[in-house]
This record gives sequence, C-alpha cells and structure tokens, in this order.
Amino acid sequence: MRVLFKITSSLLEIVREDLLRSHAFAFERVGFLSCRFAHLKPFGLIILACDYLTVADGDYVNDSTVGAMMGSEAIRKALQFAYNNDVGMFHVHMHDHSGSPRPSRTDLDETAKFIPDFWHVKPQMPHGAIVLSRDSISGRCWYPGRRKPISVSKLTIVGPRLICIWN
Amino acid sequence: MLTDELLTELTRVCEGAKEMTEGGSTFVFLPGLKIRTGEHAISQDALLCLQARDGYPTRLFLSQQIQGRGNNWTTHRIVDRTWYTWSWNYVSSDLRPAQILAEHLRALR
Amino acid sequence: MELNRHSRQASQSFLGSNSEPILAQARIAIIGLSGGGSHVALQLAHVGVGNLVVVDYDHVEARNLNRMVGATARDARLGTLKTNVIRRVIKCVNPRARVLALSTKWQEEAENLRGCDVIFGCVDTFSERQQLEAAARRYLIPYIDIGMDVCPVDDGFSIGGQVVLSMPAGLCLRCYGILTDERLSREAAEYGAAGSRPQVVWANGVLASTAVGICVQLLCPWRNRQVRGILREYDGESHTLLTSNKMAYLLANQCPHFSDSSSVGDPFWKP
Repeated sequence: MRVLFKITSSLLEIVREDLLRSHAFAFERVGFLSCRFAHLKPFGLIILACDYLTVADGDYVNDSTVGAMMGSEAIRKALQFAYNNDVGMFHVHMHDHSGSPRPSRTDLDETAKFIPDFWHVKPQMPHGAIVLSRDSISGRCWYPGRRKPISVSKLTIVGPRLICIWN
Repeated sequence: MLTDELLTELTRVCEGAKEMTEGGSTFVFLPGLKIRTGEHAISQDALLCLQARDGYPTRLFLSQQIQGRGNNWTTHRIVDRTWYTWSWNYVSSDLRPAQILAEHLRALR
Repeated sequence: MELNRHSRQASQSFLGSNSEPILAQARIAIIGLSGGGSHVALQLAHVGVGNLVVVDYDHVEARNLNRMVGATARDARLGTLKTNVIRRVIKCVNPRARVLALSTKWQEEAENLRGCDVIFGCVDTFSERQQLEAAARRYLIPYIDIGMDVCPVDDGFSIGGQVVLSMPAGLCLRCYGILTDERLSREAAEYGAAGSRPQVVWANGVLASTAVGICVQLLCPWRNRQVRGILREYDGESHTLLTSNKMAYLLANQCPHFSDSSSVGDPFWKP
C-alpha cells in the first residue's frame, strides 16, 4: 500500500514551535497531529494533517532514561480528542539533526505499544507516528486490520514552497 | 448551522440525516432517502442544501440521475462525492427543512 | 538523433540542481483542456513535469481551433477527444511523461485528483470553480485558476481575465472576490442562453503562462521569496497583468470559508 502524508507549512510551524519549547525535566517534547484520510487509486492511503494537540507540561513523566515520557493523562486526552473529533492520531516528536529522521529503537518500541490503543476509540481510523528533523520528516502508519506499521512513502509540506519528501 | 430541532425533523424523514459543511456552505446528507417517482419508490443518497447556492435559494442533489424525471440534469462534486441535480428553482429557504425537502421531491413524482 | 536528456536541465538550471527530479516526480492535474488548459499542458510538458492528469469530456470542434493549442483541422473534422489531443501534445514534447487522460466530467473521476501536487482549473463556469477549489482544499492541494472574459462596453469590447492561486490555509476564490453569490446567481439565470464564451489564444496564453510560472515557483523557487496568495488581473487593452490592488488588504486576513478541519479528507471514510 502506497501511503502519502500532507501537512500545511503553517501547521508544521506550529508543531515545530511547540516541540522546540524547553521543559522543566523532559529533554524533548512530543505532541499529536489529528488527521483525516482518503483512499488513493489504485491502492493507497492519503493522510491529511488537520490540527495539533500539544502535550501539557504537567502530563510528562520524569524519566531520565528517555528523552520524553508521556503520562497516562496525555494519552487519555489524545484518545478523547480522537473520539470527539472522529480523527486519526499521529504521535509526533523531533530529532535534533538535519536530514531524513529515522525512528530510534525506543521510538519503534514505544509507539508500537500505545499507537494501536487508539483503535479502542477509533477502530476504523489509521493512526501513526511522525518524526521531524531540523529540515525533514518521516512517518509510519498503523492501518486498521494490519498489525505492523507501513512507512509513509511521500510526505508533502504545502506552503509558499511545495516540499515533497520521498522515503 | 441547523438547530437540533430542525435536524431532528429531517431525521424523522430520513434516518441518519447529518449536517456537513464545505467552503462555508452547509448541507444535510440524507442516506438512502426514499423518493417516489410516479408509481415507484426508489432509495438514494441525497444532499440537501438549505441556503442559496448557484443561484438557487435551496437545492436537492441526488447520487444518481432519475431517468424520465426533471430537466437539465447537471453534475456536481460536493463533500467529496459526485451528485446530480435538475433544474427546479424557487423553493424558498424560509420554509422548514422538511418542507423544503418535500417541495424538491414533488418535482420527481 | 539522440536527444540529450540533460538539455532541459541545462536550459533551466537556475531552477536548482534538483529541479529535474522534482518536476519529473510532480503530479499535476489540468481540468479543462481548451483555451487555457491546452497552453498549460504544453508548457508543463516543456518544463518537464512527469505526471499529468488531463480531464475534459469534450471533443474538438471547428470553433475550438482559434485557441486550443495542439488541435488541428483534422481533429475538428474527426471530433477527436480533447484529452487525446493533449496527450499527443504532451508526449511529443516529453515522451517520458505519464499522462492519465480522463474523457469525462471531472466530478465523476475526482478520486484521481486526490494524489496530485497542484490542480489547474481552466473551466468555464463559476460553479465549476467553486466545486474544484473545494475539492482541491479537501486534499490540501494548491489550486491555480485561470479565466478570461470578453464583455461589451460602450465603444466595443473589453478583454479581461485573472490568474489566482488558492493555497490550503490561505485565501480562497471567495476571499479574492472571484466567486460571489451574485456571479453564481447570474450564471444560473443565464444557463443555456449564454452560448459559447468568446475566447482568444493570446489572452489565454498570457494567463496560462503566468499560471505555469506560479506552479514552477511553488515546486522549484528560483529566489528566496515566499509565494503567498496571488491574484493577477489581466487587462487585454493595455496587455498587462497586474497584482490586484486588493491584495495588500486581503493578505492581512485569514480565510473564513475553509477554516473547518472537517472539510479535509473523505467525510465518508471507511478503511
């Protein structure tokens, strides 16, 4: 399955600004993009980022073994948002380097644990994870009925410049 | 936006009626709307526009054209689906939604 | 004679060293293939766009020959599909281009537009523009609209037109004053009575070329400047294309017509 992801540059800017803010104890921040979807002919998926849900300062857990750890309240709020707005949720965080961002082992293990939980509230929606770098973006999508995530093959930032990133 | 009361009115005519918006316009999606055409009744998805659009004060769009009914059918793309409508004007937006729907359907009998 | 596949890159190297693959991978739709659309298609082929979706339900007639680039007298005699003419034109310039030709009303094949990077609207009516823009916004696709018109005035006729860039999260055709309830009402009232709208090749060429330039600027900007909303108004008397004097005021505002995120994606989504 071919998977495309699109986000406006203005929304991406909001995400970056939030993720770059410092936190009292977390080394990095995380957030969620709410997304809507459509099928692509002949057999593909397009993911359209709509809104950004910030993780509140108080919803982080103090865990020095990882860059950032969300508490259960952060996940509960994201689940509630998905349920109330009939959207899919994509966890997002940033790596501090240039070039194509690859999820770390920890990223892969942690997202594999909690992303499928979104199917408890929105079983028909894809959910997933997006990773940003200073100048690029990559993503994975958990599609309903499939256990393993699918890599996003093309990400497009829609703004004063159309930036298409192929993975 | 439709009030709950007015949407409920339409839900009584068509179960599953729901409001949808696009480009500043509001529509009511009517899944499986029952339509009388002469001696037959058919069932089709429909989209009711309760405000002015394309020079019509209100308009009803159907998921398929109905042969032998209505004139000047045109094709439209609204809320990401293809719809068809015919030339039937002057159904006022001042009427209640269920009446607006009834007036549009009258043209197809 | 072997074609030098790098010769296009050499002539447009100011677009950047990556411009050739960027353009080759771009997927662009052109809705309406007569006056404006035929110019757009030809120019996109020349710059090296690799994937084109071309849509028009109509056949070539003699009255199209005054403006449809690539259409021949033979096409008019045979009633060739406009999509076939345009596919031929594109392939002659860029044989590597992949062309999806849809000889139908675009509304009936709109799913094929979802994966496009840019959509050009070269359509005849305001109603079509309204629908096409909404479809483009739903898939976060920049929409470039061109239109020309000829109106009677006291001492003859006035040729006018516009090129508009409608960007997701940016100003829309209603914000620009291109789509108004009055225009849509007048169009509906005149339905069937208007006949074919007068169109001329040189005005269409100016508008189409500007539109293609905007598209290339989105994909491969050649200066470090941001392309925000664009409304260029064409004066066929002075042969000029000017930024509308509304723009400074308009750019200070947000679009209120497409601010609802439920207007994005397939509202009937099922996996």
